[in-house]
Amino acid sequence: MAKKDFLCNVIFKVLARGIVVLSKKDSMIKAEIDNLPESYSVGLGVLPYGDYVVLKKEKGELFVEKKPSGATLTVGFKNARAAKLVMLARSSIAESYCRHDLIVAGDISVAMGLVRAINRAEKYLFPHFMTKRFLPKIKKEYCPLLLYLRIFFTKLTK
Amino acid sequence: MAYFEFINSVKICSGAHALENIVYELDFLGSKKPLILSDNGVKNAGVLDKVTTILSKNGIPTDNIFTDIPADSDVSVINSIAGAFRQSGCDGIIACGGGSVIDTAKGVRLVLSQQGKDILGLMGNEIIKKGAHIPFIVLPTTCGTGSECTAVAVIKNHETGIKMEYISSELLPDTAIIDVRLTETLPKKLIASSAMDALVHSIEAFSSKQKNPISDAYATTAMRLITTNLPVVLENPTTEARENLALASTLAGIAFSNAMVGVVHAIGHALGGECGVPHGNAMAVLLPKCMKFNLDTNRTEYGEMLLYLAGAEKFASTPKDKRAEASIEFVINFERKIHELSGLALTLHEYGVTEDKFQNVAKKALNDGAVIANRKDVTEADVLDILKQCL
Repeated sequence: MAKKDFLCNVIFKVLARGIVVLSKKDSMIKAEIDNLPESYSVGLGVLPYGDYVVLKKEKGELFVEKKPSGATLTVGFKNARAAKLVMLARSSIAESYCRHDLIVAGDISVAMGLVRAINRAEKYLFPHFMTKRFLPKIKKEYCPLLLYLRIFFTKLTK
Repeated sequence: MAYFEFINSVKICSGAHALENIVYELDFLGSKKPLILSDNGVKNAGVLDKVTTILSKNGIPTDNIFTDIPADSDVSVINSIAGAFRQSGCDGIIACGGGSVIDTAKGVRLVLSQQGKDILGLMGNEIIKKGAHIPFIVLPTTCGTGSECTAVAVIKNHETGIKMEYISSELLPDTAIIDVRLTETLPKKLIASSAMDALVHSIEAFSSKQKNPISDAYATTAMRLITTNLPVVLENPTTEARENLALASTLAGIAFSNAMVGVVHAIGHALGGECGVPHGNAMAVLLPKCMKFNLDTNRTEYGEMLLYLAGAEKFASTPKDKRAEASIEFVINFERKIHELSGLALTLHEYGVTEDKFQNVAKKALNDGAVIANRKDVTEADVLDILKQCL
């Protein structure tokens, strides 16, 4: 059994839960999630043996799976360092892809929507000075403080 | 130096009499009974006969030929050919054709090597593990896709109407045979459009986020070969110019397979899917407008590429801070010349594209994997603006 990376585990969970909250609060992320078919699941993690979270859409709503197994689409990083670079806003997903850090199992055109959702979620989760090098400023539709409160104090898993 | 990866494991047999080596290459790879994939256009033009004649003369069976390959590689066609391959007892694949034939063959080989049944289950980027070895030789009959040396296949799911990208080094053929006898029946317009595709491959590879020193070497050589040889091939073709153009296509393919393409391809794929604009033609229409769009982020690369596009004299006589604009100007003038020599259309309305399709094209373009390697972020509004300029 591979040793998990504590920081990776936390940041994947925060990002996944953040996307779930923002899928109801941010119109652009909502639009990306609306495009996914019913019962579609998206895995995010370090492949093949690292930390892994799965977001699933059921009855039009997104949630984080309690016991993640497989997913319709998986966007994975080749190692924990590569994942942390992106998840801690030190590099963009596009840069990660171009460094061959990123693996996609499933339809790449669907993954592009997920990439946009992650980019936008990162704008809420991190202050602008951390992301401005690779992400343009956005007009936030929800308060980042409330977002963090909901991430940590709301039931977002099934 | 920033981290990069580069792979090209394809053996390239290029130049005079290259085709004759197909017999040796098959034997070298361990194939005695190949499945031959082509299309009816290539067959009717007599190009496939050139291949089968050589094979037959050397006792290699040519009774397993499949030519009903659609203009867009198709999921169900790939799955059924893979099934037929298993039943036929074939032990290798020869693909003789353009991008669709080669991508279909890549798909068939992937299903077989992964011992799968459905190509849909193998979608993704760098996810395929090393599979069983199926000997695979590619004979390109156009001079543009470079598909004979790319780790990419675009396959359409006709049920959903979506073109899917497969990216894996497992898609690379074993051998590419580049012989101008396979391209000599191409009409001028098709030569022009496929060569413009190759030019866009080289320009986008040289200016993408994923560019690296090795892909740059391939891209710049391809640019020089295309800009010096394409007008000759269209005006007064020589064997040498045609060989150079065919080689340029392969080199540009290697470059973009390792550096990706960008917004020109993202919009071009969407225009193909939504409006049926042939790929190379879309590339020619979009290139100058997209270069102008990318100018602020790609200024350095566009400036450097003037040397390879226009030659040393033009490069030396252009002030450094004007070279990027000069590269775009060169591309515009080059396309005008190609239009005069071949009749290749340079606006979207000439392909019957109307503005009401633009919204769908823009949405599809943003979901295309190529957009991720474009240095400049691309929004729906940007794509719409570019499309309007191209109308």
